[in-house]
Amino acid sequence: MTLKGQNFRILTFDATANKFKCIGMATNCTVSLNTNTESADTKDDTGMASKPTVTSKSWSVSVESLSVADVAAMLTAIKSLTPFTLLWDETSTSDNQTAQKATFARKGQAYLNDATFTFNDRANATKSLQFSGSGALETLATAPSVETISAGSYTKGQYVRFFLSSDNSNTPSRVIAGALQLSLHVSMTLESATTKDTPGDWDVQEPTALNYDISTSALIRANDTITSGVQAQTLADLESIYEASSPVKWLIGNVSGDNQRTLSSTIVSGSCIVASLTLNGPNRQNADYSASFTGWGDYTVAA
Amino acid sequence: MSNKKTDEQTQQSPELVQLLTNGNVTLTAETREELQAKAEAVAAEAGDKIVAVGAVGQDRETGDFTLRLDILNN
Repeated sequence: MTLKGQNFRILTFDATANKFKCIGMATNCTVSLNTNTESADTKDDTGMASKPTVTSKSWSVSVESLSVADVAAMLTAIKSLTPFTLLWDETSTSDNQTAQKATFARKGQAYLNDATFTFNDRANATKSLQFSGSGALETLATAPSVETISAGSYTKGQYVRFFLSSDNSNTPSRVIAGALQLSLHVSMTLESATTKDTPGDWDVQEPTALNYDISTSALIRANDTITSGVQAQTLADLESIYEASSPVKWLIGNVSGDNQRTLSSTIVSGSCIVASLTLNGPNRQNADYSASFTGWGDYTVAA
Repeated sequence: MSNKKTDEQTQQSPELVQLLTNGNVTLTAETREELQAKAEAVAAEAGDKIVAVGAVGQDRETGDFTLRLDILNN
């Protein structure tokens, strides 16, 4: 009987619960085990094919999920610069969560070094996580104790919006007018910290820098006819911000109210610089633009 | 003689107790406005503790709105 993908899952250790938990609402996961080799060919080797030697081993895990309820917790975890205890295992077919201690199951420490949260209009919000292993993988001595997670909720992208200020001092109060897409991408730089003291062949990594960027797109509005509620940043406003060449404040938050422009709660905020603005005017189609922003300094989770 | 700590705990809402015990809590409400009010009440109750919020979601079976709150380590 072939193992089905929904019963191949990634679990992370929750120190508060003292149990492992599946990454909730996962849609896909990938485990990569890599070997780094070095040529060891010498004149004593006969034949034409080379015979490399294994110098080190590294591994990584990626997971995609439809849950963004924990976006604040994930962003906090990245900034903490501490690794997750993570494992992959076969899960039971009854709940798709109870770990079975399969022979292929492995456990190790890994940094959450890349995360992308996407909030597109009229689409389910998603998160994509990449964990980079640091140190050895272990087999499981016993089936891990798992805390079952409850069914999650789906977030429609139009209810999470990007607010942008026109300066670096005032709290952002204006969304991007006519917004279509939004993504927040956080990336941690990891450097090898493997030395002669490191046991075995495993690569050990340590975080050295954190970067983030935000991308958004919107329709270019000939005239913003939405007059009720909160005003918004138009393309002209973004061009002015770009021309000023200075950082501006931003926040991403839950919205409600008329035209989904009223901020309900701030998820994350910071400052940024306009990295690029691309305007598109295809014939007989809507004109639109895409904008990308480079994070300036740390982001702050919560208001 | 009253136990001050027990008295304080019994005055805390179940949501705050769960938030402080587990590090996070998921609030549920029938409307976004009710959910926001609940979140603000829990955050206010948490006092000087920093409470982070996730993205508001909607249960696909019940239609209820949900919001996860996390206590951040200071």
